[in-house]
Amino acid sequence: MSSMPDSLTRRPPRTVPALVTGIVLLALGGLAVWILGVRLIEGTWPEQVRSGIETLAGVRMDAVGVLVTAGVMALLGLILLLAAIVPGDPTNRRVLEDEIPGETAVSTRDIARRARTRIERVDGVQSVAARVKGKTLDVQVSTPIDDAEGVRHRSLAAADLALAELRPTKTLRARVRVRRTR
Amino acid sequence: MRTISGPRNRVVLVQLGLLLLLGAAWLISASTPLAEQWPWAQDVLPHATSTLGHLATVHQAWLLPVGAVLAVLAALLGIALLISQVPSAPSTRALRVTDEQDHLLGTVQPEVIERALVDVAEETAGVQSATVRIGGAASAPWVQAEVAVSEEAEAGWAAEAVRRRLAEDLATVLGTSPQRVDLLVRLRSGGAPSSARLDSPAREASVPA
Repeated sequence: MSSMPDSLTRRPPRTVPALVTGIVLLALGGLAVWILGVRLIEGTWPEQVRSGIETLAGVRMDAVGVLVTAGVMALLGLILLLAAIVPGDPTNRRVLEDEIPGETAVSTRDIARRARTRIERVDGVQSVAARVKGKTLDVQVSTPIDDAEGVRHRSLAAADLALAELRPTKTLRARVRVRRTR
Repeated sequence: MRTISGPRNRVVLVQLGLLLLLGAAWLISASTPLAEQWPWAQDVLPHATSTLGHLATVHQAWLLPVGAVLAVLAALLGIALLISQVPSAPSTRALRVTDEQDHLLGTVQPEVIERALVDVAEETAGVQSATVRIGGAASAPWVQAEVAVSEEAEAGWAAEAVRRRLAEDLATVLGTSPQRVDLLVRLRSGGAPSSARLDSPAREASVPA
């Protein structure tokens, strides 16, 4: 454990791919330990896998099955590499910068919910969906009235105000799309 | 605040990804004329006509023990990877307060200051609840706090006020400004707290049985 805390705005730690990899490694490693352990100690393959191993022993290296296995391995390898290399969006965003050392952060979910709450109060708005992705606060507004452009302007102003109050350190631009409902 | 090591996960994923790609390339090389083109690599590259059983027989002397060791290592790595997904908090220890000549004046448990700072944070208007963790040395402390602020409140003002109070109060207690004050703001719907206490403990005690 380090003595300094991690940044609040760090990138996602890749918990899901690491968990899946850990489970697969444990399962395959455990299975191999059992099979090879029995072989090393008793000198024969375990009864349950003997026929399978005998079938595998006769497979030629240029067989279709070997090529398919290689393809699957390459695909899994690429997925693991991409999961590690692609940075991903941080869960929290740095906001309200001031002279005190350190940082203030708000989760992207909370930013979106705050904008949604503000836009829901705008005249003519029936329902709102909002989410933060990259540098954009993406807002989808449903309205039953004809003046969709007016609703869009008022919703955009409300979203901009909600963002301005939090003063995100990195630019976060609101984008509002309006859908007419009957 | 408890976190999971992202860099450690990424290093393991990159290494396993590269191993899988290498293994796939080795298997695919059997269906290519690579072994004929690179005679020096004939010993390590598989031949199209070979069978898995033949390869195992040729390398029988070392394949089984090495395979068993690798299997144990894979299982251990899997366990280690699963354990490392349990979030861990940065280590904290008692803060040693010293004078200018570096003589020990006393020690303070971080929990004592943390409780006081939680009270300070929760006194701020709009803050519903707070957790505070401090660490580092008394001469270079850090603070990491999390506050739940009502959505209806001035979240920006509340966050700035909490950070300022945490920095000032810690500087007052330890005589040194903190190295960093990190604050995670959670926006919560509903302005009123879920419970309220009207009677003070002193008044309750004075009520006859």
